Amino acid sequence: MFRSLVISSALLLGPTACQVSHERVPPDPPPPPDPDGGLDDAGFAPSDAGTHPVDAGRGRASDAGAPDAGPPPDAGAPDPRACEPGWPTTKAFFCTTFDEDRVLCCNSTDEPEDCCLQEQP
Amino acid sequence: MTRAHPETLGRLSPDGRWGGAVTRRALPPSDEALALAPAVRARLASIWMSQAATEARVARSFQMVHESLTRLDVDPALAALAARAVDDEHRHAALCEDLAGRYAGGPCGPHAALPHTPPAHPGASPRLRDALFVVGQCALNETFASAYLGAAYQGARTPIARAALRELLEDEIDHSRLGWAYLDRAPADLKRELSDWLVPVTICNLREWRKIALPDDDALAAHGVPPHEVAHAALSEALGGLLLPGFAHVGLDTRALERWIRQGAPVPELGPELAERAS
Repeated sequence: MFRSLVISSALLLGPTACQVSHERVPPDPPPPPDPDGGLDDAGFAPSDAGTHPVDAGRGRASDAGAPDAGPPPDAGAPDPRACEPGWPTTKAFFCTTFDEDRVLCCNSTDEPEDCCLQEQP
Repeated sequence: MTRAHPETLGRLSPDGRWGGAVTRRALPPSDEALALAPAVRARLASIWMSQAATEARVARSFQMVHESLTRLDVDPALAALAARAVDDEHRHAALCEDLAGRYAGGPCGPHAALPHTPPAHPGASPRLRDALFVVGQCALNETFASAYLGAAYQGARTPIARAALRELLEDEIDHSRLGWAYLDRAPADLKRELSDWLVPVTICNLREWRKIALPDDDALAAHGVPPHEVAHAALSEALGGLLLPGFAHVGLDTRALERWIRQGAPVPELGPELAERAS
């Protein structure tokens, strides 16, 4: 009996379908007064820093905005942007089946009958 | 003497990172592989053979990233690193075939040619899509890969597994830096747009990583295959400990991402209806 390492796409995924809240990043609060008129780490500042609070310094957005500062998520509204494949990984073990003393090397994920059986010594 | 298939070796560039060589350092002997039970050897060979296929698939991802960086008119040195990453992934494929051959006791390539389905990011402008490609493949995917390999390396005990994982990990960290370097210098208006996409693009990438099937125990950990729980814990740690502060560090608005992580980083299943609509 062959055992398979083929990945189950449902593994570890939640029970719900792709229905996630379409949570937009909330508007930025007004920037706090900056008496020094500059960044504490000018070397980091991108060339166009200062045009938007998000870009006004290292960690600025995360540090300044509390995690709960934004409006509540629009629960239940699907976000199609999260409903497509991500970039393929280098560590997903597709298309390989093995037995006690054999290795099955497949040339296609959808045509296992074309796999090449490798005899082991 | 590598056991990689000539077809795979034929994809390596003499102008690559190590001048056409598969690895930076010579790999150690792997006599311990031949002493393993046949079933264990077969299993390890199949895992490395599969990884050869997936490494080669990512070479295509970096071709796309290189094209995106060129269109984004970044520093040519950055685009050149992406071009080199294409060769890196082909070297990885050859390295993984070599490992598979060592466990199998003989050459067992070439690796499978897997379908390549990158994200499309519908609704994004061409410029934003190019930037999302760099963020998704480099900052996200390669950081997750580094976390996975770090966990694998920690548990690896055999010299050949440790040597191979170190070679892979060095390159993956380099590839992730490509994304961070790009983000650090990205224009302010693009950073605002990217901030708005941070949660969905992270969900899409994490979904792929959560598909990974690994052993429930540590039977193969010494050979560089971490237990399922260890690998997935490393991915979660990377999410909150590397990616979140990393995105904030380069000036993205991470508040929505932080809220999602605090909610347990839920990754909804990709239903066929929505998947079709998204495409």
